[in-house]
Amino acid sequence: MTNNKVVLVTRPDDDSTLNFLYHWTEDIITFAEKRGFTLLDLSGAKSNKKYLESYISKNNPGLILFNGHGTKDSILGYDEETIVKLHINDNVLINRIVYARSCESGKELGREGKAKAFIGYEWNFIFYYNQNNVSHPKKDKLAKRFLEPSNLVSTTLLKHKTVNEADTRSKKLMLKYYFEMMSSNGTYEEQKVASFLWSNIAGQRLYGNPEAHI
Amino acid sequence: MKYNVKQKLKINKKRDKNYEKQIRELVVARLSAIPRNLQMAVGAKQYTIEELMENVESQSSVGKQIIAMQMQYLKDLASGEINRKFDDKQ
Repeated sequence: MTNNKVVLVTRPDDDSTLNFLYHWTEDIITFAEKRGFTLLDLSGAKSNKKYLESYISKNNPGLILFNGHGTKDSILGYDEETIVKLHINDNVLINRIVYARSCESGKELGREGKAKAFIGYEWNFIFYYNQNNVSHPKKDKLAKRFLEPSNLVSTTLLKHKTVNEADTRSKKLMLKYYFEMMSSNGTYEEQKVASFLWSNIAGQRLYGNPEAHI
Repeated sequence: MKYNVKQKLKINKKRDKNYEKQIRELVVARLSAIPRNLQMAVGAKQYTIEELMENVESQSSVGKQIIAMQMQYLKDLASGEINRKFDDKQ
């Protein structure tokens, strides 16, 4: 049995894409701590394979939230180190619920991996941002349209809802934002990049038991 | 006029190439409308709009993915799939 009061988060920060994910994950961490979860925060250089395997082995988290680059069969950590790879060390995911905010990892690691349930992306996870906000990721209103719905996957899971609900709520918010961005109320910038939000909606996949929850 | 198999294949190949070129031009045109103060985070990199357009034109790995995503979007938009999804989620 996993410990459903323990949540593990990875969030490397060694490029500007990861820096956005790093800062947007802070809301999830605050949310989890307020709800009394024990939070294992593998931030920055601590997002490596050694720490990941050690923390999982010692604390047995029920939920793992990955942020980072990915490939179809792996998730990367700091300095692009492969921290989970299908058929190599994917046993670290056994019986756990996983959300991987990383490109393509849903394709094989999600589909064929050992997680109890896995939400990830078949395609690249995409977001747009204003170049002027690189040092202030949380202030970027355009990035918010892309990253807030993905945060909703995590916060829904932290409310003990099922992975199916987490997936559905997130897609619902993406659709809401898509239509807002495309409407006359959307800014010019929003209207021009809204189609890429559709790519995240179409690419987000759920594997494993849809009724699983922590 | 009758064509032999070899000639038919040649004609089809030419048609496919023209089709692919038109699609690339369409995606580049869509990207060119995006304000230049924005950047896109995709995969392990960040791209300016000019870089995205170059990647589509050169048919790099990222360029091919952008083309696939945009074509999927346009198909889903034209087929009513996007509106259907919206209705389903209400």
